[in-house]
Amino acid sequence: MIRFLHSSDLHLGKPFGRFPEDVRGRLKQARHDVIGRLAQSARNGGASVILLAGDTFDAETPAPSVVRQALNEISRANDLKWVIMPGNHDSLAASELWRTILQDKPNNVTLALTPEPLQISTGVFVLPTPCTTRNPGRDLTEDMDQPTSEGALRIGLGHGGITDFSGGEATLSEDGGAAIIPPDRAERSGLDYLALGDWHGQIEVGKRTWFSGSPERDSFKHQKQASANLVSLNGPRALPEVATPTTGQIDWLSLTLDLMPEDDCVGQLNQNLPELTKRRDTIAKIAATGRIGLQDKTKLQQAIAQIEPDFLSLEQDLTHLRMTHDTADLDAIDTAGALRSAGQSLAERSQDPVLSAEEQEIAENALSMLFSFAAENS
Amino acid sequence: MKLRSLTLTNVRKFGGQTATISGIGDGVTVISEANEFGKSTFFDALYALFFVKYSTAGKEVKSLQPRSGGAVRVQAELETETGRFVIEKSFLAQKRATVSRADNGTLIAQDDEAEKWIAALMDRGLEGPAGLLWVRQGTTALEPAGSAGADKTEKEKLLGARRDLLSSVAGEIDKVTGGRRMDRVLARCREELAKLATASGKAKAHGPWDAEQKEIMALEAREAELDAKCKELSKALSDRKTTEAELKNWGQVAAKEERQAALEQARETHAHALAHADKCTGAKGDFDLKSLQHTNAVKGLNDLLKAADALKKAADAEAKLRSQLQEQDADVAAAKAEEQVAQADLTVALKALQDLRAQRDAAQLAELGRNARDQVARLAQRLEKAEKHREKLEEAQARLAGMAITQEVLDKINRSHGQLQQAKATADAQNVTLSVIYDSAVRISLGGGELSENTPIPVYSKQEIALPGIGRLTVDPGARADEDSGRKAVEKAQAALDIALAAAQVVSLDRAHQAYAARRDAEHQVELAKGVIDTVVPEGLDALRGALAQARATAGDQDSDVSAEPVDLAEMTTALAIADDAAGLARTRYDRNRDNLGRLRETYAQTRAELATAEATLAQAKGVYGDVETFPERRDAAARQVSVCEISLKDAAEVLEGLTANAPDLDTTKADLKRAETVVEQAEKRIRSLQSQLVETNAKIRARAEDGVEEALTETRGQLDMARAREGRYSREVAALNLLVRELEGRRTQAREVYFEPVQRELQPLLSILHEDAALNFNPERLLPDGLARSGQQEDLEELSGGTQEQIAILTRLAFARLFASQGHAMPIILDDALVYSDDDRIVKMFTALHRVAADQQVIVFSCRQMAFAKLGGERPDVTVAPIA
Repeated sequence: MIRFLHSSDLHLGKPFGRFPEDVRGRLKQARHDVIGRLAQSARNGGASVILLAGDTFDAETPAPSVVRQALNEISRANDLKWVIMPGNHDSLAASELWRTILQDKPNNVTLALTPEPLQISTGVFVLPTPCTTRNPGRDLTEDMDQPTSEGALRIGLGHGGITDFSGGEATLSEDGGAAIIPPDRAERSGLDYLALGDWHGQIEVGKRTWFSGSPERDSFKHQKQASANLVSLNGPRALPEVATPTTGQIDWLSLTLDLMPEDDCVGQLNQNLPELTKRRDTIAKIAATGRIGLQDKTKLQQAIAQIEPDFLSLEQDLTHLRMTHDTADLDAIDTAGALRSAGQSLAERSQDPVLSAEEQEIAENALSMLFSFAAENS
Repeated sequence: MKLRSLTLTNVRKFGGQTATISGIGDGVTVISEANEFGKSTFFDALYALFFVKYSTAGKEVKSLQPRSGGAVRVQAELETETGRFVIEKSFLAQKRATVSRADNGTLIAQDDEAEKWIAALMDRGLEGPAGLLWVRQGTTALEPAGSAGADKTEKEKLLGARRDLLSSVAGEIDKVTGGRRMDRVLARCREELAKLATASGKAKAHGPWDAEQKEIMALEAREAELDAKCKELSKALSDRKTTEAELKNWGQVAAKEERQAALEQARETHAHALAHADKCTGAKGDFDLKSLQHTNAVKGLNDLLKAADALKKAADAEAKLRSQLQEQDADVAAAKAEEQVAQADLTVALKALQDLRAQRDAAQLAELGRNARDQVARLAQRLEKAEKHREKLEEAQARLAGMAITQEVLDKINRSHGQLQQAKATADAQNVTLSVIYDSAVRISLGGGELSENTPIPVYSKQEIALPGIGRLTVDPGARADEDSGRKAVEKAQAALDIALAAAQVVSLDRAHQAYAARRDAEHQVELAKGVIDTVVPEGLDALRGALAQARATAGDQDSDVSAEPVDLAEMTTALAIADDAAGLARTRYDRNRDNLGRLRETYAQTRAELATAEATLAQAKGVYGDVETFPERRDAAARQVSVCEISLKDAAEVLEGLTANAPDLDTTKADLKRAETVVEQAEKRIRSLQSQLVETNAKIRARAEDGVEEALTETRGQLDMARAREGRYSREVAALNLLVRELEGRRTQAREVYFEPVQRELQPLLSILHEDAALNFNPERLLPDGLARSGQQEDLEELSGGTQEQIAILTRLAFARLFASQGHAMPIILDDALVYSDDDRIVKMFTALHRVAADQQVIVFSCRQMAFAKLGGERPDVTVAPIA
């Protein structure tokens, strides 16, 4: 019997260049801190081994500080054994990285750089299939067919997309790359558990096959809370017992409001926001679709502007939200005269099918501005 | 609203008094009084009542206070649609404002409420349209002309008032410009736009849009730099992988052993080839030796056979030459004899020729002497003749030289003589003449000469005539003016003649003619002598003398015997020619014989030399041939040696051929060995190179990896995406703002086109009173006329006369007043000393315009021009002044 923590896709050193510097700093720090949180989760779950199924580092040549500080953090958790395998982001092609780690790694780290069985405990073997390049182009997990001693527990450690076991065309591949690993790899290779990395959201592919997901979210793509898999193998061919302790620190909230003219758009917004205390650790993206009136859009923009400082980062995308212009909206600009006439003209331009979408958008923005400026001077 | 009365208490010049204007009618009311009456005091007080708050202590109120001080009170009775009211304000002291009903005195509003009531009545006071209707003294222009703050404020107020008036009265709200709200919205747009972009549409320096564009440029540059570094790193990693793989291949033991084994094999093969090559070299040496021996044997045999042949040929040649030499010796002797005979003949012929030539020369010399002497005689004769004529010439020339007279001198004398004769004839005709006829032989004399009979003698001067036997008769012609003149002319002509005669060295005209004839004769003699000399001696005397001297010298040189008989030179010449031919033939024959002898002698000498050579050759051939008796034996032995050598040579050739046929290619084995050595060497070199390359690549990778370029690139690309997104937002915002500004301006411009229509509608009838075909152009910004069109001609308002400007300004205000009235807010129009520049004709028309407006609203006119404004007509209200009760 063995209990271990399965995780992957730490993507240490991910730069998050799209964000301001202070946000980038928080995100990077959170990724570094997840090492400690994984260790704590392992300890809390009674696991002695942590298997990292690839993409521990975001790049093939991360900054030396990222590597060194990560190793230092792992060395602090020296009560645990860490098995680290290259993924597609930090593949074996990153020869300098692995050369450095080999040279500097603490004793509690085992590198799985070759597809050879690793005995991590008596009668327990890990069958790693490290990524040779970013896109190996073949099913590396075939090497999991290698024999181990009779009666030993066999744990596959792989990284890459998995083909849809339902026979459809859908695949599980984080970067949209080739998904080659067969979903029944565990059965084919007689594995008790197949620990996979690549997919950043946790997912159970089969009873013995799991993507642990990234322990710290890095995008809006996966909505689940970030966690790791605490796996217990009680004997050969016994089904694994998997718990999923949360490990994430920063939450990524993607909120899309589908609005209609009569909707309470501000109410819908507030209804879907997290608690105030959580917002500091939340990166939010608020998008809106549908159509609303000029006044409602202004209110929505004002409401978003109002909550923006609460969040670690808040990004809004109202480009797909079209405006409807009724008489009341235009009356708010002016009931008649040149102002009203200008507003009417802009409203017509914003819906003129002869104009390009960009020209329509410009007209819509101009109308929105006119509405605001007129309101200021009403 | 209409004003019915105005009461001032303790105001300015009415200090301690109450001044009242009452009975103000509906139409035109004229208050026309002399200066210092207090018109402006009424105007200012009325203005304060309507537009100045009761609580203020500003200068417009203080200026109303009399010198004695005290509260200033102004009261007016008004009539509106809702009734008659009395409004009153007390300024400075007892500050108060009240509105009460006129009929029963009921207080309607007090103080601030009263102010509100008044402001509502005046439609926001000065800021409302009513502000337009007050035309203060000296401010009849459309708006204040100054640029001071107060004037600017006033302008703004008036502009606002006009705009609001126009907007409200148009009644077509969808056509107005949006008024001040439009201005504020446009200003807001431009304010937002100015934060982002310049007027030309570019990003404003240091603005947020500009900052994003610069950020993008900086990030793109950084991205390019990092991308290059990443590619460099990626390439380095790839290179290292390739290098390591190659190094691994080179370093494998099996590969090393294979390269070494190949080298050893190549070395062994080459050593074997070298040994075989040595054997071949030995066989070749033996073959060459045998070949040489064979060649020598053949040569020995051939030499013997050649010596025998050469000996025979040399003996034959020597015998032949010796025979030829004997024949040639005889030929030389015969030729020598012939040459001696020819030489003797030649000597004889030359001697004969020489003798004949001497004879001929002597004969020719004698002939020449004779000819020379004849020549001397001829020349001497010519010279003698010429000398004679030369002497005549010189004599004639000497005479000629002594003659002073010439043709010219003679002509002058003739002319002087003629003039004298003419003068005398003239004088004679004028003077007394004396003539005598003798009856007897007695003759009388005059001046010592006998007086001829019947010959008139002029008497120029007093003359004394001797009368023999009688005495003396004095004839005196006396003195006459004309006579004196003729005499002087004769004297002058005579003097001229005398001078001419003196120049010719003669005393009279006859002598002059004689002298000139003598000169002509002398000249003829000279010409004659020259002609003879030229004929006899055409070459000249000096040349003739020279020729004579030369001829004499020639004759002297021919010292021949002049007495000898002359010889026939032609005959002698013929004989000489015959002798010369004979001598030529003799020489030709001699030369031919001599040449023949020379040739024979040369042939002989040559044959002798050839014989000597043939003798030497024969001796040599005998030496080579050797002993005649042993020659056959020697020849046979040499033939046998040749046969032996041929067999040895054949054996050696077979051995050599056998070895050569089986010999390995030494160059090939050498090349193969070289190749194998190069393979090993290059492998070691490549390994060293790869190791070195690996060190360099590792260093490069470490350097780049430490920079974290991949992470930095990803980060930069993320930043670039965001910067582009932000820049795009600014760009779209600028586009939206520009569109909005264009749209607003366009709509306002459209609105303005109809904006002035109501004003024009009110203004045109008033303007037509002054100018039938005139129209005003309005400035859309100032909302005022800025030009006048008359009879199709456009004129700027500022270029018009002061009077016309004044009239247009007042008409415009009247038009605004009519607009105001048309919306139910008829306000009094109050003019304080307006129309100061208008002429009599125009001012009457303006009065008509005022009355036209007054049909709908009150017009109150203050003026000090009593006469001029008498034609205005209208009502004249009562003005009373009384002490304060």
